[in-house]
This record gives sequence, structure tokens and C-alpha cells, in this order.
Amino acid sequence: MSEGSGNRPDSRWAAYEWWQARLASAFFGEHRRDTPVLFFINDSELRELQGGAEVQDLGTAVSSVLAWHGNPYDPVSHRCRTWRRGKREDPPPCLPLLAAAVLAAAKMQRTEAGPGAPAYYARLAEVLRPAWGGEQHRKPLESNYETVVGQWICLDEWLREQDGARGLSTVKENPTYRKIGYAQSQALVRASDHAALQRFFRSEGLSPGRSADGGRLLKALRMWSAVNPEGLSQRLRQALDSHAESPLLQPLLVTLLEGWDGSAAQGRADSGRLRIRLRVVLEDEFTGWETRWHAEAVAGVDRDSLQHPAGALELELADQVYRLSGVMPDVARALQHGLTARGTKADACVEGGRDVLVLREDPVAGGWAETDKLTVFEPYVFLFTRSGQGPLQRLLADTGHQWRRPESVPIPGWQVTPELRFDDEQVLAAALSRSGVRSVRHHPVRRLSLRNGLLVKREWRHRSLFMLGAEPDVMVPEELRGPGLVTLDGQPLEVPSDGLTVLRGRGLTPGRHVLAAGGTATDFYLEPAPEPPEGAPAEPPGTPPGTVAVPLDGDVRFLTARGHFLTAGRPPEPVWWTERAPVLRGGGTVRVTVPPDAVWLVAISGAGVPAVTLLRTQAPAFESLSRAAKDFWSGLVLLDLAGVPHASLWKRYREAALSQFPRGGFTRV
Amino acid sequence: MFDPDLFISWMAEQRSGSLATLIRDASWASGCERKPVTQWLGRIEALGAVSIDWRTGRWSANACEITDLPGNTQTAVLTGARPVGPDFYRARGAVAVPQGPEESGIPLPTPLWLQYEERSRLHEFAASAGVAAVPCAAGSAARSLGAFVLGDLAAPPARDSTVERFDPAVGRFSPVSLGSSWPVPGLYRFTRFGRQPRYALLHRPGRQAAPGPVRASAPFPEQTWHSVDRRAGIHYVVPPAAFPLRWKADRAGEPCPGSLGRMTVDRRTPLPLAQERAAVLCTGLASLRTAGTEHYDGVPLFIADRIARTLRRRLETA
Repeated sequence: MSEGSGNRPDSRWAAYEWWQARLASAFFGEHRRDTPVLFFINDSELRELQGGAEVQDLGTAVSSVLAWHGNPYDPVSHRCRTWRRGKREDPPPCLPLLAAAVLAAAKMQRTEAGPGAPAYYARLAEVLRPAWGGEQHRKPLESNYETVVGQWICLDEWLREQDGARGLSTVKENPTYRKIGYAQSQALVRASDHAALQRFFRSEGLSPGRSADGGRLLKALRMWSAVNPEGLSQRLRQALDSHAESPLLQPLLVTLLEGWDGSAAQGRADSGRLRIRLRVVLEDEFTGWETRWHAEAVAGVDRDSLQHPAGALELELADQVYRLSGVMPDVARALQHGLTARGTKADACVEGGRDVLVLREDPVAGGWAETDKLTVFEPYVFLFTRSGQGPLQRLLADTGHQWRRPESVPIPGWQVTPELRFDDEQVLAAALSRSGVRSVRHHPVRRLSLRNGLLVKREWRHRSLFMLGAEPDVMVPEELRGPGLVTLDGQPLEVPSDGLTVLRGRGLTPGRHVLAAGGTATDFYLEPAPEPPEGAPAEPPGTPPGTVAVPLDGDVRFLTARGHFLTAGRPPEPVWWTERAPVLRGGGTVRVTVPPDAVWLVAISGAGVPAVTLLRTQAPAFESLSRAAKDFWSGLVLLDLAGVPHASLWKRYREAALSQFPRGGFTRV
Repeated sequence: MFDPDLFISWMAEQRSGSLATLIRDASWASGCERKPVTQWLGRIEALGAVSIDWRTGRWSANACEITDLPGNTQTAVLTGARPVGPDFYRARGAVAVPQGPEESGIPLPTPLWLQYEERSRLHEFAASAGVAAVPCAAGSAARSLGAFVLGDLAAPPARDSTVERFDPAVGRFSPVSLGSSWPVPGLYRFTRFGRQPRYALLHRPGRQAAPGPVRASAPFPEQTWHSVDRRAGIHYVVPPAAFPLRWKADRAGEPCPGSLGRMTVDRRTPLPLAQERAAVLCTGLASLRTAGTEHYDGVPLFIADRIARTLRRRLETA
């Protein structure tokens, strides 16, 4: 039977046809209406597509229908010709072959010499190989590859015929890599990158549906991705860093921009479901480190049940995050092997195979949460395995950190470093690239960013609300440090040479403040410490009967009806008041017992100012006064208490005292 | 630029947190390195603004209260972490003495006192400031001081630790080797690479520490290791008459238990935190530090005596 025997039932084609149907539903289903089709295929995507189906893997399924003694692609090409004569309702029957071509491109390592043809055909020959093995099949795969190009064109034409109903075509001839560029460009960008790219288009102010210069677009994306790497796949980020892959990316970006409708889509997995990232969170509890998962909410998914190998993880929206319940994925296993949990609306994924994770304080997550960015002036802790320790130690040593004993975490095989932070951007970038720490990238400061400051109301999880008087510093990137480039509330802000600008001591008022530079703005809020609520006065214990408060300093005496005086027994002012708290001097009092026969309390301050208090009412009954009593009275007889209720009684006492002195002994001056 | 009162207010607002983060934030706010910041935190811990668990690395702010000073002077001090700055309390009648930079180079928070004639005034102030008025906290703290008890059993120092033993005669730690001889009872400090020092008492029931190493042929199976706070451990092993506590009355004459005076402590035998807090609460001021001594002012004789007794130390009075 010849390979070109049409679409007759044939066991060799069974697996191929299974893959055709699977790829058609995953990538070209009706759910793809008006969205760019990114035909991204790699090993993990294939595993996900295959699920538990008992079917040959893609490479074997395609290899088994190829014609290894002539143009290997002829059988598939023949099927496509037949398909062309039909209704063309479904995608052309070349999808498994095109997927195998993309898989070969995805398998190319960055260490190989760029995206060149030899490296590509080598990988293609690994994916597609005759059952009898050998190494002779590479040449026909390469020499007849023009046939595969024809099938890409066939797919492109069919998508366009559908007018977007089955997705927008991103298949485009690449002027540099005319043949292999079709597959290679599909291997760079995956559907999950699309949301991030749409954010990029919006942030750049690009117009939907309009053509753009691919070179400029790529340059802008490189700069944008340095600040906003979230949502971009590692492969795309690598491609952005690679000048050799620029020719592949440029036309693809142009195509995506042309097909963009101006909206900002959610991150989607290649399955079409919304992508939720499960992140590891460490909490420094009283009893030690604790670990859990954290998932930030995505619009459109309020709840879902995500199936994973150990059970179902339940998501329920709670403010900005999901409340997680059900069967939690094992953290150690997920970090080692990776994890995909699938629901009806969303997928959650954990990237496996990492030996070093970096975590930063995240008030929303309520602990140290996994991130893939490292920057300066932010505190971090590192989770690492035994094999990650070497690269991590190199990174820390190269950034001037002492290696401190790590702590245990409840993840078998992992430990966590004490908290640390980096101060020098260039040193960090260089050390990170030397260290061998993967899956963490340096995040250069390219915009105004707030550092330090004392945050308040952490329970609000507001990351820009600071205590008045403890304003944050602002880090200004190098290109914005020139005079007048940065403003604070509209006023130019002087920026020191290192960029770290102190905002304290500028008399900022409570409320919102805006830092602006280079067309972007960062705001923060200041709030004074709230005054404590006023309470109800407690019922004070009653004043001890028969006592009175008298000053500690000065001359304090009780006067009796007979005109005699009694000194009040008082402690001296503490010595430390003089030496360490002079503000207390003269203000202390002591409660003393009132003698039974005392009528008046007279207190003469250290400055000589007298104060007279009536203790009980009794008419004067002076007898002869001692010399000491006369001396004391001599300072009081001219003291008039006019205006107070007991002034008349005091006057009678003064007159009684005066009668004790010789006539003419006092003269009012 | 550093405003210690603002930082205390922020701590009151935060209520609790990680010590490492607190040190980082205080370093930024004060512009000082970790070591002086740690010293400063130790000072505000003694002042009662904050409680710090140095081993678990957590801190919590203490509630703000107003409490009478000992000495019957009708003067009260604000203790704990104040949620707002001194001006708020001054507006309600409190008086303040801003503190300059001290040994750590970082100023301490402003002490605030209220002087009153009637107790109703104290309670009125407490209500308007949103704080609780409590009886003399210094006296309460002194009465609650207990005699030293051995802490939890601890493992002996690990073999790879650097081990030092406290020499009670000179008041310093000196390196010792535990490999070749049985260790003598006493206070040990052991440091493992990259970790905070740990302190442990080697206790041998009924036997006193003998100077010098013990021969390896004389094991003491009954001796036990106990984890201990450094300062409490020092007082446990120092003989009562060595580095005595001293108390000097403010005024000449025969002192009575309530007489105020200055208590002086050798810095080689610093007061444990509980005792230090009782002493500091007598004024609301941190100890005055000199090169070799710490002075605690306004301490009544009965509190000084209580501190000395609970530490099994002799109190010399003058």
C-alpha cells in the first residue's frame, strides 16, 4: 500500500488522526475566535494535550506515516491536497506534522549556535525518525522541507478563509529564515505570553490593527520587558535577549499587533483557560517557618475546582486573592516536578525543576512570596536545595554577602536563607549572570520606585501608605537623574548622584503625593499617627481624709488659730530631678496629714510667692507669738487675699498678727 | 533626622513583627548600622516600650500606661509604646525632656511625666490620653521579682561550637576546651558558625565550682546543662560579694526603705531585664552609662534591696 493512498482507514494513520483532532480542538477551536493563534508546542504541552490517552506520542505518530524512501512529507501533502477539494470546514490535515516541526524548534537549546538551519534539522531528525533507526533520514527531511512550508501556507490560507472564526493567523513568511522560520517563530511565543504582549501594546500607546515597524516594536518590547517581565514566558524572554532570534520575533510581533483588538486580555494557558499562578509563600511564625500556597485573583474566575494528581484544589475569590481549600498540592513535589492543576475556567501551574527560589515580602500574600525578579533595596529570602546551594553561595559572595547559616523549612530538601538585600545594581546583575542561578532575573530599576519608609495599616495591604514623618526614599534610575527631570507634587526634586533621594524632612503634609518623571508617575500617601481614642475617666480612689497636697519645694507651714505655725513633713525633691529632669522641679507635691488644729496652709514657693489655703473656718485666737512665729508672720501680714471667699477671715488673722508687733513696725511701700 | 518618638509610635501602630525587619527599618530610619540599632532596641526594651524575644526573632509593642513613680512625689510617668508623639501628651499637661544621642549614637524616646495634686487629675489625664492609669509599676515589678530558677534542660554545646566560660573573678568570658576534660560548673557561651551566641549553665547539684579543669577520670553524671539568659546566668555564677550592687541615698542620714537613691551596677554584671525594668520604672529614664558602670536613679532602697536579693548579690549602701 502506498503512502499516498488517501484517507482510507489505516492503522498507521490512527495515531496521526488522533493528534490531528486533538490539535484542531486545542488550537483551532471556536473558542479561538478573533484571537491570534500561537501554535506553540513543546514536550510539556504535548504531555498535557495527550493527557491519559493511550496513543503514540506525536513524533512517533507522524514518523509512522512519513515516506522514508522519498520525500518523507509526501503522504501528509497528499492528504492536504485531498482536503483542499473538500468543504475545508476543519483545519488542513497537516497539524501533527506542523506541530512536530514546532517541537523541533522548541527543542533547540540556547547554547546551540542560534536558530540556524543545521541545528534545527538536527532536532527535527530527533523528533521524526523511521522505526528502523539510523542517521540517514535527516537529509531527506531537510532537502524536502519546502513541502512543510507549503503546509504552513495552507494553514495560513485556511485561517484567513475562516475570517477569524477559528483564530487569527500568525503564520508568516520570515525573510531571514524563509523555510524554518515558520516553525521557529511559533516556538518563541506561546498563548500565555499573549496577555503580557497586549499589556505591552497598551502601555506603548500602539493602535490596534495598524502596521508597525518590527525592529522598533522589538526594541520597545525589550525595554518594557525588563521592567514588566510578569507573564512573559522564559522562552520569550530568552528570545528577547538574543539578537540572533530578532528576525524571528519581529514579524511575529507585527502580526500580533495587527491582530490586536485593543483590549487587555487575561493571561491564558495554551489550553485557552485562564492562567493562575500558584506561588509558594513562607511565613515566619513564632514556631518557625511555615509554608503555604498563594494565588492572586484573575478577572473572570470567582471559583473553580482545579484537578491535580493528588486531588482537587478549590479556589474561591476573597478580595484580591483566592481562598484555597481542598487538597493542597505537595510543595516539595510541585517544586521538583512542576504541577498543572486544571479546572473548567482556569489552570494553575507551578514550574518545576528549580533549585533556587527567591521570595520577597508580599503584604497581599501575607508573607514571603515567590517572585522571579531580583532588584536592589528590597529584602529577599532564598529557598534552595542542596544542588542550588553552590550557585546561591556564589551569588551572595559576589554581591558582598556573608553566607549565614540557613534555616529549616517544612519542605523536605529545601532550606531558607536569612533575609538579605542587594545595594548595587551593576554588581547584582553581574553576579546573577555568573552565579548559575536559573529562573531568577535581575530587574533593573527603570522607573521611580519607592524604597524604605515606614508603612502603616499593613492589614489594609496598601503598599504606599506611610507614616507621616517616615516618608519613603525614592530611587531614581540613572537616565532620570538630570536636573528638573523628577518632580514631587509638581515641584522639581533634586536627585543625588546615586539616585536614592530622601523625602523625609521636606515638611510633607498628610495625604497623597505624586512623584513624576519621564511620563510616568508614582504616588504615595502619608498618614499621621492616629490619636488614641479618649476613654472615660476611671473612678479615682478617694482622697485620703485629713490630708492635703503640698509642694515639695519652698516653705510650707500650717497655721493654727493661735497664730502658731506647724511645719509639714515632706520628702525632698529627688536629686535626679535636678540632674536629669529639671522640668520636674517645682512641680512635685506630696500628700501630708493635716494637723488637727491647723486652720491655714501657707506655701511659699522657692521664688518667694506665697499661696494661702483655708483648711477649716475658725476665728483667730492669738496669744503671744514666739519670735520664730513673728518672723514667719512678718512675711504674710501685708498679703491681701482680696477677691477670694475667705479674704475677710484672712484679714482678721493678719490684724491679729499685726497686733503682736510694735506699732509702726510695718509700712506699706 | 531620626525621631525616636515617631519610630515608637510606628511600633505601637504595628503592634508586633519580625525582629530582623524591625532592625532593618530602624537602621534605615536612624541611618545607623545594625550593631548600634540592636543596642538601641535593647535600651527601649529596658524602658518597657517593647518586648523582644531575641531567640525567636519577634517583637511586640507594650501597651502605653501611666504609672506613679516611687517616692510619693505625685509624679507619674508614661510607659510602654506611645501611639502618638509627645506633643499630644504635652497638650494635656505632661512635661517632657528630649533625650540626646547616647552611647549607641541614637537618641532614646522622650520621657513624659505628669505631676498632679489630686488623683482625679491623673485619671482625667489617663482618660483624655487613652491610656490606663496603674499603681506604681516600679513597686509592682520589684515585688514580682523572683529568685533565679534553673531554666530548661539544654543539650551540651555542639562539638563544632566555639565555647567560652564566664570567669566570675574577672567578669569576662574566656575560651575553654571541652574536649580534653570534664567541664566545671558555670556559665558557658557557645557560638556556632553564623548563629547568635547561646548561653547555658552547667549545674552540678550540691557541689561548687572548683577552679581549673577536672580530670577526665572523674565524671559527674548528675550534672546538667540548662539554657539561661546571659545576664541572669552571670548573676547566678558571680559570688555575692563580687561586683556588688551599690546604692547611695539622695540625702545624708539614716535611710528608710522608701528613701530614694542611685543604684550603681558594674557593667560586667548587668542587671537581668526584669530587674532592670523595675529600676528604670523608678524614673522612666534609661540607666546612665559610664565606661564601667550603669546608674539607675530614683530607686527606693526597698527596690534596690529586692533586686539584690533576687540576684543573690550583696547591696552596699552609702
